[in-house]
Amino acid sequence: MFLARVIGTVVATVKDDALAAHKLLLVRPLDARGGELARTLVALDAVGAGVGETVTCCRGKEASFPWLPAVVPTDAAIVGIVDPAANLVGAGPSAPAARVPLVGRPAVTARGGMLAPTRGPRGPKSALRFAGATPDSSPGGGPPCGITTTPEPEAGSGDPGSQPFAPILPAGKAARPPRPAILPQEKP
Amino acid sequence: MQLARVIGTVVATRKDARLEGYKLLVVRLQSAEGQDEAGYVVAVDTVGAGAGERVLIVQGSSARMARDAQDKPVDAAIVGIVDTVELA
Repeated sequence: MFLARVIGTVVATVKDDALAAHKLLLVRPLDARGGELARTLVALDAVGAGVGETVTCCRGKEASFPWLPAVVPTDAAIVGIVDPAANLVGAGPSAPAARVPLVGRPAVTARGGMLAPTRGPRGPKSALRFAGATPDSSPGGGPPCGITTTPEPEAGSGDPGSQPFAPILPAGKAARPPRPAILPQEKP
Repeated sequence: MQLARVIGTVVATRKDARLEGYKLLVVRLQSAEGQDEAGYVVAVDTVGAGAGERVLIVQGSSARMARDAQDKPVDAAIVGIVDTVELA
């Protein structure tokens, strides 16, 4: 599959019967940086895309699969619309913003403005998330691995099933005692 | 699918038996703006296109999905006659 921008429509009255009631759109493939390539192709629309949108296209025999079991003679189909936050609508190949990669950079809006990046710069210690440093308020921030007891539900806190996930061990199996610190032996 | 323009016909008396009765047309690929591009394709006509008309062609195994082209040894088929192309 590849990314493309819808640049126009095609009207054909005389066509294969299986193509009736399908929308034919002109799409121009995009390079890895979001710039338009020179060639164009006609794709059958499977998702309701419109002119100006950035879409994902599929080529080959698989392009007819969205209409299975109907047999539709097409070798190119629009199978997805790229979300607006990452959509380069209106950014032509000559616009400097069109050279911005799709991932990891601010998205370009239809008016040519820039959206703030959705994610801040990744910290150097991202592995801390797996070491219990995730704040409890963050989504998915449960207790770190290795916790051995289920936290007692507070009075009036409601459904205990809403507690963060923690493994429940049998009563006889307590947490493994901490390893004794290895101290350097004194030399006689 | 691609836009193309019919630029000629092909006559082949000796051919695969499953191709008998089909019109073979030579088409030249076109850009969205209507400019001829390099290269040509011999395509089976399934819609009754004529010389000089702007058509829609399907290539690859999808060409066999065109009307009456199932199980035929074709990899390019004309599946539509273009009326208009509207560019944004």
